[in-house]
Amino acid sequence: MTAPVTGGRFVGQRVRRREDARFVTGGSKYVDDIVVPGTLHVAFARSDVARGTLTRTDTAAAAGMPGVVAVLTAGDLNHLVREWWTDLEGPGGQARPFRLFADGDVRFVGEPVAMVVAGSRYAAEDAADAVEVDIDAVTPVVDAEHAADAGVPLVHPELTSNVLLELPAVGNPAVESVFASAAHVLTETFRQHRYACVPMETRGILASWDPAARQLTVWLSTQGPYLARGLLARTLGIPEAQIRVIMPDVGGAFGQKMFLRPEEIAVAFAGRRLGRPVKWTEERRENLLCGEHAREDRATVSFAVDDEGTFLAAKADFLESAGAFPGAGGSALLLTTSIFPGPYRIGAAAGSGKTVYTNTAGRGGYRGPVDDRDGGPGADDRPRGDPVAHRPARAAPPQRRPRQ
Amino acid sequence: MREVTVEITVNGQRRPAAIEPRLTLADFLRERCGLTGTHLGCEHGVCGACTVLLDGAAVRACLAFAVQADGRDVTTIEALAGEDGELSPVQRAFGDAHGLQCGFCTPGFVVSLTAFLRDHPHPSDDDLRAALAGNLCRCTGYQGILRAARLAADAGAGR
Repeated sequence: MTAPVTGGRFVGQRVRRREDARFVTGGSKYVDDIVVPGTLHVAFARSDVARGTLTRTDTAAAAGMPGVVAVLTAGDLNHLVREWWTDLEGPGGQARPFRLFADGDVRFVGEPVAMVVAGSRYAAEDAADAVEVDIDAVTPVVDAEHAADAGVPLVHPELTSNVLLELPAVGNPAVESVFASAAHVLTETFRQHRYACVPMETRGILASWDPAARQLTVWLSTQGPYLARGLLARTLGIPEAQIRVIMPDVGGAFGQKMFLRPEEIAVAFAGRRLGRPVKWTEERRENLLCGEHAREDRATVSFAVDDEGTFLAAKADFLESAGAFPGAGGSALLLTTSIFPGPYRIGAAAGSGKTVYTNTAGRGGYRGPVDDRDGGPGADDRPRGDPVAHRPARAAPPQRRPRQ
Repeated sequence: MREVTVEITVNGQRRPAAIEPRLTLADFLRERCGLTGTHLGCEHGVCGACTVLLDGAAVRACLAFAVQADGRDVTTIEALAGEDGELSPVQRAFGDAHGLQCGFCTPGFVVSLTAFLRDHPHPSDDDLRAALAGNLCRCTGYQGILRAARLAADAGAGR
């Protein structure tokens, strides 16, 4: 008999969290709670169609409204973005398109067309409503299954196809020979709908530029202040050492706050341009519309099994909709194709897949990208009556599991 | 926009102010009073994070205009602990029962439950579930919150 696991002061003990006292008394500080004197407030005017030509953006009326300091559009800021890759991708990584504001056309519902910077949030929202936007709408590309078909218009006309990333099925002989000789081959297709992360606290940023010190201080609702600092440095074209990203209390994220979206970067640009602190707190509607979506994928999973139900080999083919401007986690293919066997003992496995652009909100991270994989064992178990019972026997043996 | 003059008693202090009629009570509390414990999660009355007490009744501060609180008493999350900083039984129970994680929804839950237990000091589990059905949490899962509510009720929070 082995001794029970003990963890000193923590494992098996009731541990009082150090942060709870401020959370239950209203003393916590999320980005929107942070006050810097003289702060200006941002509201965005957005596209209400998924795809179309932007024929007119008139900001004159908005700019003349009380309290408005600036109304900025693609022509003011897009060309100032230097580089926009994240540490995760590296400069030679996924060449996903990126822009701060719609320019010439719109490519998803919610795409920012203009940002209003004003003395109060109320004034900013009034003026954002007064930005006049004319769009000639055309039929959008929304079906990932057919986004890469011949004749389907390009989501990004400057690219040559709607395929962001493709990992072809290579026909690994070790896998194919097992499939050819196995007693049974079971194939199932699973689909996940689009997810919204929906943190209770929406996204938010407060950016304060000190022109004399050329120093940017950013309070950000984020999961990764260093990722954010790196991206801000590259987009703004200033050294990381001149940027301080402060991560205060964060009201949930679930993947949505891994990477900066164009809105947050635009706020940093506005802060530098105006030389004043600028704050943006995302509305719930914006968060649901285009705060970054997740999933929306299809997995076709095949298992080669013997008469005892042992997994001899497995194949998985994925299809993902990346939206128009995905975050750095926009394609999960490299992850899903390699980890889909999960905890199961599978002789040989092969993954393939494709990620396509669509005229939808950009895809981002969300916890646990391979929910589909358990469908495989589930499909295999169905004829035997119990979708759960057989799984432990097929899991990797203890010596192959992570352990202390 | 034309401003109107109000005087709202917030956590026992009188707060005279000239405000636009459209200013929400939540923004009045957060921006004019600096009481940022009242959180805005949805701004349309769904999530309950902005719950405050208006003359003792739990209300959504995002759906109330500040002018509606003129001449009335508002109590926020900041005023629930004792003067010496001692946590109220409801506040203590949330920590004890792991009824929170990121903490963003927590003030709304604590204020809602405080009002409910004051009026219903001997609730059943179903009563507690119904009482908190108007507040949303995203990370903790509601079991810890319900355990906290049970703990607070059993500790006599409403008596």
